[in-house]
Amino acid sequence: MTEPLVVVRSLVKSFGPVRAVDGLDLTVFPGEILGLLGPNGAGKTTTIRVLVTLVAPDAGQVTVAGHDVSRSPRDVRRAIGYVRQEISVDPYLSARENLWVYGRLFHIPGPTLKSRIEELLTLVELSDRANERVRQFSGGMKKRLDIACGLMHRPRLLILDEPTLGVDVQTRHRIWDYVRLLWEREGITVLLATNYLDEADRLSSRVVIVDRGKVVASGTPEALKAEVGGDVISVRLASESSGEGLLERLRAMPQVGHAFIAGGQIHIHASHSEKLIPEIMRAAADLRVAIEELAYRKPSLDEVFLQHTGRQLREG
Amino acid sequence: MTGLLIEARALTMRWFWHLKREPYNIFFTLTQPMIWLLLFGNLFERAREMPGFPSGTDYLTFMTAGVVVMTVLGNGMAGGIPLLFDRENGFLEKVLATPANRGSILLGRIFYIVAMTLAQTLLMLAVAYLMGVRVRAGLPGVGMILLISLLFTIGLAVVSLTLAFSLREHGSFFAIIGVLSLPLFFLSSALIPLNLVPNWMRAAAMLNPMTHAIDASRSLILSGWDWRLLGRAFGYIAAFDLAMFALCYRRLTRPLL
Ligand SMILES: Nc1ncnc2c1ncn2[C@@H]1O[C@H](COP(=O)(O)OP(=O)(O)OP(=O)(O)O)[C@@H](O)[C@H]1O
Ligand SMILES: [Mg+2]
Repeated sequence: MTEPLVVVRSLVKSFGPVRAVDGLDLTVFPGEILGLLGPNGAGKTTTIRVLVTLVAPDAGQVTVAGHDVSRSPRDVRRAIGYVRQEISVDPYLSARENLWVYGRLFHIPGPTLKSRIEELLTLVELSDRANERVRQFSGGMKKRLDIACGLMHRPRLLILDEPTLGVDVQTRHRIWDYVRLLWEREGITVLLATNYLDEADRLSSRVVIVDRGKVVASGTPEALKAEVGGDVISVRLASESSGEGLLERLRAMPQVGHAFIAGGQIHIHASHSEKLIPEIMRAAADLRVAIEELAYRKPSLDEVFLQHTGRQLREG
Repeated sequence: MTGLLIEARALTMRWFWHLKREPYNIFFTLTQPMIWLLLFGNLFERAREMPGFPSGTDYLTFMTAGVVVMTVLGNGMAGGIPLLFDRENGFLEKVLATPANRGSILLGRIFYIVAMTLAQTLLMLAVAYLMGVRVRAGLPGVGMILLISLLFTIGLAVVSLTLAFSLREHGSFFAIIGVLSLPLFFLSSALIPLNLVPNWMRAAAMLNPMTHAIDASRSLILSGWDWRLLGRAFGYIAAFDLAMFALCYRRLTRPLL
């Protein structure tokens, strides 16, 4: 197996009483797009800030490209292109000037820098606005410029912290396209933090699900979803209180793999939903509980998260 | 070392690019010292009738050195302000995540402030010249005044930058800058000769590097080369600069976020 690019072992980081990261393990291999998926406050950004040497860990070992974050932070920073969760371009500079200043901080010599800037402006589709002051850019444009900055020095590892947070659908798809393009063309390794299921699902070659500072599951999106087993049926009852009785009946059925109540709904993982659905209807009728809504679908990462934490990634 | 300079130069460029897009800033940066000259020159015109005032000098000529050093003070002390914004809009964090030496943030800002201060000082001396003020020490004297301004503004900028690195709240930053600037200005020889102030004030003023910057510049304007005054000024200012750099160095070796 190839040498991993990032190794995080038993990382702990607290802010006062808050344990933002609580014994987290993470390995990123060269050439993969690793999705770090977790709800708000799971500790994704904190983990990343430790990786890019902005925050010192309380405990645990962290190495990037073979360098320890505490002992050789400069070597670590040289290996990483970091795009913050919040927009962090200089609003008083033009797009081109932003890239120039950033590139010089990596000592990229003039002529190389010039062509690199044009290349990146083309990639993020900002060439025609390159000399405008960034303050008048839209949020999506600023984000794309930030991503271009992160790619400036051709890093081995690109870290994107929620790159599509707060951008419109169109920009989101563009950003996904850039990441895929870079991955295919340059073989860049990507660590992508997100709390969007579809983003993790579609973009990552491997997903690590984190919750409350810990890893709760990891694997390829397909494998994780397969682990859920079969299809997912969710049942919303007219009155929530009567759910327990129905749940008990369902659990007794042989086709039901796993059934539980979360978010006011009964969730059922089953292998053959087409046969199970009529039986659920019958059981509900027997118990005289009214079903308000019954839905069935292939499992998504939401189910994976639900299965491991008993909560939904997103409420509602 | 060359790495540090490459980084600092890039960050200096950044400040000039900011300035380029702020025509009002350029306008007021350049006109403000002229307004000071006009105001002070006229406001205290009759001060020279006071006993003890250097005889044969008009107040404007006397005041020119004070206004120059006062502008240097204002420039230097305001030097950290943009860093407060950099911390807020994430640019600081972005720079700190690059391999760049964090000293380049300090140095880049100092280069810019020094350039601005020199331009302002030169402009003020030119305006004063048009208003009839002659520098007795001639053009080399003007060069010497520029050198004094340059050295003094560095220490002041470092104070301001250290504060900006240390304080999260804009309010606290401005409060502290205000509290530091007032005594530096009033407990100095900026407005009147020190032989006209109470003893305790004179004693305090003699510890103030600003006083020595003014006295040396003033003697170049009023009477020519006074090596004793110049030597004392360079001594005080160098000590001040070194002390401030030491403080700032300590701050930079600890986490900045
Ligand atoms: N600088 C800080 N000071 C105090 N608490 C912090 C700090 N940074 C993070 N935290 C806390 O640590 C926890 C984890 O935060 P973190 O930003 O790492 O989560 P996240 O997974 O990135 O969440 P999101 O999806 O909302 O970005 C939160 O409870 C947060 O309030
Ligand atoms: Mg985050």
